[in-house]
Amino acid sequence: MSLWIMFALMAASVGIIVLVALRPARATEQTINADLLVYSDQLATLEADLESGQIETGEAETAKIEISRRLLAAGKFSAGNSDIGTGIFSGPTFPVFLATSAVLLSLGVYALNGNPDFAGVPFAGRQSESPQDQSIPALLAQIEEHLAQAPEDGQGWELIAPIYLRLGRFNEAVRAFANAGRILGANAPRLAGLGVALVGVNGGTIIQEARQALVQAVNLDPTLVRPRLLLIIALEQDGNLLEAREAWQSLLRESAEDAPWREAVTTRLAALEERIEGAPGPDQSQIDAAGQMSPEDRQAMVTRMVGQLAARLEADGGPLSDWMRLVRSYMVLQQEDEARAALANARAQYVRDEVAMEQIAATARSLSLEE
Amino acid sequence: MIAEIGHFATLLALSLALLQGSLPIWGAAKGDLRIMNSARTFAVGQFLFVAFAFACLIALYVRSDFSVLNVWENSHSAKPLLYKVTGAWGNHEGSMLLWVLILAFFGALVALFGDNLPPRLRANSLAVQGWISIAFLLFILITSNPFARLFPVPLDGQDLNPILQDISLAIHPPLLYAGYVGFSMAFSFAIAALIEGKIDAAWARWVRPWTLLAWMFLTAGISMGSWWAYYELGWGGWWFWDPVENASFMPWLAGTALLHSALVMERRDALKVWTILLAILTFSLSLLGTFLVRSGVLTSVHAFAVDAARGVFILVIMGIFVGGALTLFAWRAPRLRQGGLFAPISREGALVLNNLFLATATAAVFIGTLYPLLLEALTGEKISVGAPFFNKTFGPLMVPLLILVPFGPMLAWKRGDLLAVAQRLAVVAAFALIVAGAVYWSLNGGPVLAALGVGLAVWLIAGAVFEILWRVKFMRAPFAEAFRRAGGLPRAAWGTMLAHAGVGVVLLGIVGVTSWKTEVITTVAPGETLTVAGSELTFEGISSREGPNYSEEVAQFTVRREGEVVAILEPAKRLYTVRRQPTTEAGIKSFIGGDLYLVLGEATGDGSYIIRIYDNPLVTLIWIGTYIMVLGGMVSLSDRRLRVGAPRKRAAKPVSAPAPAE
Repeated sequence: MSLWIMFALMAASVGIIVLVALRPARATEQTINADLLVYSDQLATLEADLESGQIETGEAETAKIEISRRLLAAGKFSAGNSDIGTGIFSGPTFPVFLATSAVLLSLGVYALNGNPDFAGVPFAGRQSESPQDQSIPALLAQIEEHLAQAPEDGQGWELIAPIYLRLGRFNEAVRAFANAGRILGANAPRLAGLGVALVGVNGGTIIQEARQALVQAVNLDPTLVRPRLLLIIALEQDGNLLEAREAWQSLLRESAEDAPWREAVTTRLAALEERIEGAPGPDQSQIDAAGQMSPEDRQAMVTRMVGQLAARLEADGGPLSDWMRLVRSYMVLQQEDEARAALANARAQYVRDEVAMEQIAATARSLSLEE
Repeated sequence: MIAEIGHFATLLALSLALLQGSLPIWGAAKGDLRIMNSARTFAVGQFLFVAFAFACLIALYVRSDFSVLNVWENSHSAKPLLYKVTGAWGNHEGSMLLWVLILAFFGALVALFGDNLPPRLRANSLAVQGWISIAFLLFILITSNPFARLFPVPLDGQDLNPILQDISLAIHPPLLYAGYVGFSMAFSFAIAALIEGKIDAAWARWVRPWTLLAWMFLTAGISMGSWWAYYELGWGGWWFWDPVENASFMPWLAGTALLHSALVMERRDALKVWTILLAILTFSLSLLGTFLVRSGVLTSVHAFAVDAARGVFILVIMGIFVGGALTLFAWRAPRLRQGGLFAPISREGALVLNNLFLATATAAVFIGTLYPLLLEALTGEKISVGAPFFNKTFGPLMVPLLILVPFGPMLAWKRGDLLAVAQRLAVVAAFALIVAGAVYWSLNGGPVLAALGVGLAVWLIAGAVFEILWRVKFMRAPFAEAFRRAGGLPRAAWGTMLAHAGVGVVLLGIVGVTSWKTEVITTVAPGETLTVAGSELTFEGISSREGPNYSEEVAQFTVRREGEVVAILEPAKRLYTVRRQPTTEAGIKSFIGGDLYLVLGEATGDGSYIIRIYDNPLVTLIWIGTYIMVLGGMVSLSDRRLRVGAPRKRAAKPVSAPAPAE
């Protein structure tokens, strides 16, 4: 039923109510004298009390006299009530006028404030929309609602966990992977997911808990590449550069020629080797000199060094760690636009390296540079 | 679409209220019965449209239609269905619509069952009801429209404040409002009497059941609110003299006074002007309560409306109704016929004394509640009045009143014999003193005031029972005779007995919990056992649980008494996911002697938890007592003699079943 039909029915009901309200009076109604009713009722009650022995005879007599006195007074008074009659505006015009005014007034105010074209949006109706129309948040909300009611549904957690991970909602991803593992039992993908999510929570740093999950995942299924990549990065992070180099090399040896991660690993390995041979950086004399500089000079020196780094990276590319150092440096220098540009360049270089992309994203987040 | 229908229905209800507020009063002035009686149809019609609008609001909540601002602000798709429904009035806009719904419902009752009311009185009082409806419908439509829309439509709602997601808080506001709004009937009748310049005999007959009904609802509502605060807020207290509580307590005190003065008016045709004034004041205090709670003047759980425009609007409504009513009273009251006179020592005299005490107590609460607000508004200085003020003012006013309660029903109307009554009550007094003494000795000389408090409670309960025994001539006449008399006793007498005894039971609970409460705050490690007030509590551990829209940490405690397991208590800390708001869920076990009450605190980091344990002796009696009072009200209300009786000869015509509250 359309809204306007409903409105018309409601307005018609109001019209009927007004017409019924102002129907011609029944003649009998005006003859009632309410006061007399009350007093005669009181007398009846008194009689009943006397019969059941609730009241002494003497007491009843005085009460009776008093009620009778009031009854007489009321009878006198009711003479003054006889002015009640009917006859004002007795024709049909008056009620019709009132009914029309009432409806028009309501419609007028509604016209000012109402939203007749705005259909209702019940929650259930939105869920039945076809899946391709549904945005990821809507799907998520649907699964979340389901899980809130059935928190022990492992399949649900399993379904939602990778979505969280992709959306960068790492805390929720950790909880989802952990729940899936707890309910369905640990397996390699769940442990790997948990590890990756934990890395995400910590902004790219691979904490002990993440490391344990990743190691377990690799033990269960050595063919999983992503946890291995992260574990090697963990080695780099700890400063075990030689071990890391060996691990990269063995990963390359085991990988097929057309493995998608090959190029990224190669780049990474090159960067690592450069680091092992002596990362380019200020030598002791430069550091000493910096200590004696005025703040302006030091700022200038930092800017110059950052500029050199940027020029080198933009010309030849370079290891991810250098890109990230560049981004951080720009942030220290409060050059946010440059930092964003550097991030974009880094992304362009590592666009096919999933692990690196994640680290870039984590760095961006940690510096509040997220788009 | 439902939202738009609800909006339009509210507007149509306003149109009908405008007619209800204007036509009948004009008809009464002109003496036109047809115009006067139109009030009845308008009142019923207005109720139907408000009810329809309210049904629309509930439907919007149930369907989780987040295109409606109010639903989005106060609901969530994952909320349990029960709280979706009750959430419709768990917020400012919805609760105001509920307020008007109850108002319109009572108006419709008068219209449908008021056959025996004098036509002028009926027309005028329904018109006054119409004015109140107009004021609050305008308030809703202008400042707090529950059907306001929201675009773009959010994906999900913001959820209802978790501490309001509770069954007794779902029932509390409707009960409280039924109480507040019920007093509007007495108010409307008072204004109608003032407009007409005379008080009919039917006036008193009608006002008393309405007042009684409103009083019962308010009693139950306050009791429910207090019970909720006790178990949900996790402080172990049952009354805090919080301004919001006082806001409902003031109309209760004034309403209790009105109940008693209406009794005098009905039976003795006296105290007319005072009863009219009390009726005006009681409803004014109800409006004040609504203002305090709804305007956001008070920062509290209830103040979901922190909006200056709303506060000013309600203040204007209150100014018009209270100021207008009192002006009308000052102008017209001298014209009313004064009622009969009576001796000071009589049932009427006792009831006047009751009114004096209750009115003074209302004034004390009024000052204690409003003075800090006024001071802050004028000077910006914040002061806290709090419990000590009320204990020093309200307490001393209550003690003599309660001592006098058993005397009232024993005194005869018109002329009483105080000495004879005192002699009869001597046996009750002796009994109360013996109990007080026994309490004092059995607790090895515990607090004297506590023993006296118990004595006072016993005096009230035993006094109430004794009054009935005396009336049926128990022990003074053969048993069969007493039994027959008990059967014939008016139900109003039983109601009085229950209500007065209920006060005694409440007092017993209050004395018990304030005098002998034990509170322990300690840390407890899993496996550890504590002993508090005769109960051994073993902390079994902590576990996590997921609720529909919250997750919680639950501690398990096994409670043993004399080696036997008597209860498993699970105090918990909940986190409501949508609002990220934590709540505490106390673990409570009621024993005959009192409550064991556990609140889970923070973890200390080494596996232990901070835990607060209360032993609250007799505390449950506070709420049991209030329900005995409500029961008394029901019994009294069922007394057929309260009704405006139809004459026997008209009995063939099935028109008048004029019980206002069946």
